[in-house]
Amino acid sequence: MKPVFFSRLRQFEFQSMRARLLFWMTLLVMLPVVLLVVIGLGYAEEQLRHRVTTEMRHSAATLMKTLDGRVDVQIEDNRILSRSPYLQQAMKAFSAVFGSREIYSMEYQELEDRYRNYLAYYAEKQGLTDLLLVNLDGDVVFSASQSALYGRNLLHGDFIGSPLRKAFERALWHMDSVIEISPADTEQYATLAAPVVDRDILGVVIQMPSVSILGRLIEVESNDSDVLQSLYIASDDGTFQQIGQQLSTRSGSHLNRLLTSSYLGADISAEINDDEATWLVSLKPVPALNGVVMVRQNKSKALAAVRDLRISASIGSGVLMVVLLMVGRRVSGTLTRPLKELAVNFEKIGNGQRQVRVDEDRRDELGMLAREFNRMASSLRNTQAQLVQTEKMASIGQLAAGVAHEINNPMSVVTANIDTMRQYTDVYIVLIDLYDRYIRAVTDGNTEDAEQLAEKILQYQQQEDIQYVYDDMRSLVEESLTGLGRVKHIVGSLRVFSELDKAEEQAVDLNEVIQHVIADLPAEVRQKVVIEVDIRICEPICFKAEQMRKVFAALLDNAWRACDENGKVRIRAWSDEIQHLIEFQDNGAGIEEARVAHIFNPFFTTRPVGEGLGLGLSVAHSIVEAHGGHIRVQSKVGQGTRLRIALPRAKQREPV
Amino acid sequence: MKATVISVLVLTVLLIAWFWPVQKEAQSVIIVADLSSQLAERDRHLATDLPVWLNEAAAQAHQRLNILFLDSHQPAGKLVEQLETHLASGVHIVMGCGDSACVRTLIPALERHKAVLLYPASSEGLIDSDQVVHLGPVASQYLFPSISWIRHNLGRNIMFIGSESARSHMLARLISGQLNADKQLSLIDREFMRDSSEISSIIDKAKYYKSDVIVFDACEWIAVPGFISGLESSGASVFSLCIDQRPADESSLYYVSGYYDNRHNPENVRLKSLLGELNPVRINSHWMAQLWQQALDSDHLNSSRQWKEHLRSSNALIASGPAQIDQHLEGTWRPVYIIKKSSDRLTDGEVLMWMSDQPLRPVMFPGLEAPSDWLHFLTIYWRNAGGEWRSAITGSSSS
Repeated sequence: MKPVFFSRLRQFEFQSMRARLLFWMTLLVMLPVVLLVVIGLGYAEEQLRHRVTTEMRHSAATLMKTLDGRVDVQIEDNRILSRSPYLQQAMKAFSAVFGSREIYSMEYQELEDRYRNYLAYYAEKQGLTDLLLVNLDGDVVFSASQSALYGRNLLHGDFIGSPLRKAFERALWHMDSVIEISPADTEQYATLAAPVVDRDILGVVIQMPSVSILGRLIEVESNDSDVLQSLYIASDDGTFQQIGQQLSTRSGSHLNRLLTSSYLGADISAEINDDEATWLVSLKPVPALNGVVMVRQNKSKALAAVRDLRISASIGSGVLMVVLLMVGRRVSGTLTRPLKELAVNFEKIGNGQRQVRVDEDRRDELGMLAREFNRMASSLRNTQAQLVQTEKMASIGQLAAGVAHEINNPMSVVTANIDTMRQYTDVYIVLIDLYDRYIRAVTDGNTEDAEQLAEKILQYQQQEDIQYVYDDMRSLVEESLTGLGRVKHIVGSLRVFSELDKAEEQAVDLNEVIQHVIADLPAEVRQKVVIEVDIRICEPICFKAEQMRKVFAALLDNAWRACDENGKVRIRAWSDEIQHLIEFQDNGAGIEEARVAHIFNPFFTTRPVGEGLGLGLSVAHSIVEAHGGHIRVQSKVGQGTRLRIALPRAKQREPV
Repeated sequence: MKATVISVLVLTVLLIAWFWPVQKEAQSVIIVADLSSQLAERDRHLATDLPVWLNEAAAQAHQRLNILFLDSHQPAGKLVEQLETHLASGVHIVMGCGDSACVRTLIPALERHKAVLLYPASSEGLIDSDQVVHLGPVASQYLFPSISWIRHNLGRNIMFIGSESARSHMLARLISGQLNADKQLSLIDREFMRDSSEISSIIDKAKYYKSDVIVFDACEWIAVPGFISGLESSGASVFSLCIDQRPADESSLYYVSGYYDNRHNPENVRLKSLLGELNPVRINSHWMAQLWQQALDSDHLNSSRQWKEHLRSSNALIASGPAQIDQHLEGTWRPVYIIKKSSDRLTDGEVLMWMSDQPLRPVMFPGLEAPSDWLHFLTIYWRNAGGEWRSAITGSSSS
């Protein structure tokens, strides 16, 4: 999970380096801080909890010892009483008269007179509600308070499960003083019993402490109002009943499980929840009372110091975070500002500006970077100048080669024609000489010579096929004139290259320019090809109008020439945020992929000889580039061609 | 770079020094067990298991532990002399003793040096010393419930067979005191064996008296084959008070025990799966090691006062059930079980006949006599036995 998270975090693209720096600085500093705070708080809480738990455990142990001591005293008192010869005598005497004599008999009254004062006095001084003497058969043979228990048999069915019967039986079973706790009985929840033995087992003496004495016996009130103490007594059904409370714990409940574990011997420190709060509890078994003492403390109060510490730590962490963000912002700003400056200058270089320089005062790596940038910019300026020169020379060479090639053809024809014409001229000179001699012979009346010369002229004309020469010379002159006219046209077209930067830019309506270009087309072209115009640039565009007109004318010329009958040319123009886009699309023959790369080369043409020079798109390309724009071509054979001119909007465009 | 390396090295050294475990002063524990007589088998857990558990506890706490062994099967004077030597060197923790005779022998030395003996086995009680902490049951916990149960379930004519030891004599006195008081019971005969050669004559006497119940406390010979079955052949039910031991042979012995294999006791299940066979002394030995470890962890082993304070009211769920050392160090609150040995495989060899419904209070001086009377009886016995707490001959382990 974590590697994926960190991997994603690493791959997250921040909008700025400063944000990245700030994030990682904050993360790297705050992470250990938060970790330390969390660990520290955990440790502090653990320590405090440990201290509180130890104190509570100590309190529980102290309470257990106190209760155990009090019970011990009671049990020992009862044991001592049970061994009193006076009590043994009383037990013997009351047992002897019980059953055989009525309670109001003289014998019984005599016994009462003898023993009751002492036993009643003892009971009162000990705070007993009653003191019973029970014989081995379970008959209550004496009651100090003359209660209704007198004469009852504890082994009777009425007493099954009663604390009296349990105490009676346990005292005889273990032959020792015992205490029986019955928390369900809120009036009499403890009964003490001890066997009375002389030489024989005589019976059992039972003490029933009053509620006030019992209250002192199992007093569990705490001096500390935040620490509550309670005593739970185990019941036969596996539940526990808190002394002074009517309800038992619910079997299977968390509290019952804890009490059971403690009752079985384990030292328990745990947490419990009730409707009021969450409590830290410590439990300790009290076998003397067959129960468990529980010391509890409100968790939120007990661990209040940790809560305060947590709040302080949160505030401290928050303050640290703010300080860290402020410092980090400053530090990251110091680091990223030079980089931002570099980026801006790189952008300037990208936009064609070469006169850029950044501050290189810093002595660190960023300063080094700035110095290297300045050196690079300087080097770039020099290199660019060389490159421009080289490119210029290359372009000139390429152009010259094209020009030479294009001019060479007509000039070869002209040269050949002139050579032929020079031969024809020799013929005509000979012929003119013959005519001249003939004219002079006629003039001199030298008929014979004249006839001979005439004969000779005819022979010569026949010999040289003078009619052919005449026709051929006309043809040669025509051809030569055509060739020279072509040369003139080439030279005229080349002048455009030299005049690219001569014209001034002006704001013109593109739609108007396009419409003029269309209007200049021959009428048959406009009949042959459907031209659709969709100009969505309303504002005037700033460019060299005459040059751009040539561009549009060249593109439109190429477009309609590519079309056959029912051709269609669509001219669209629109703008986005940074440029104007003008698109010429036809549904003509298209251009083969291998040729697309060459269409802007000078003198490249696919048209038949004499129909085009191959300079239109080349000139258009140069003009558009001179405007800071570019032309993109998309073409598919059989489907058509699309040429898109992109011109930067005026504010982005460098002056041409 | 150099400075960084030096800084890292210095930091590393400091960290190592900080976290280097500090060697604590070695703790010493004396273990007393019968190592050479025929009772060595009885005490084998004290001699073998207890040192292992203590060493494990010490290793967990990175504590050095020095365990000193004393053989309880040697003349009392020599045993006390060896103990005194160790105690004089500052050792204040003693564990072990397989029976109360051993405990009584050691008490004077323990009292003199304020050392504390943690005693894992059962006893007759009647020990008046703050320096002995009983983990096993005392007579008040097992004897009176046993007599009551016998009266209700086995019969009323009782024959007592014990060994020549203070324990058996005092138990017999306690029983006779109760039986005399309880007119429904009668003690037909009391026999105290001196050595194993008396076994056949004891069996013959049992056959002669034909009691309903033989209360057996000659624990030194309970493992002698044929002894218990011989007694049972008299027609009487045999009820053993040897609370820490089981007879070896097939029999239908009844016995009172500090341990019952309770499958609902998670600690019993855990310990049994860990150790296999369990018995009361082994369980208490394990608890002793736990108590020592807890005291070690809470730094309560520096003096016998601290150690006693730690033991006072310590409670735990052990394999025997819930147990808590009495805050007056009278003994340990614990449950007691009466079990019948059975050859029935379905019952795993024993049937639970009775168990206390809650941990029983330990009373060091029970019954009808005062503590001073009991101490007087004990002194008389000791004097008559020639300064021994047990004059029965247990013999060497090879015999």
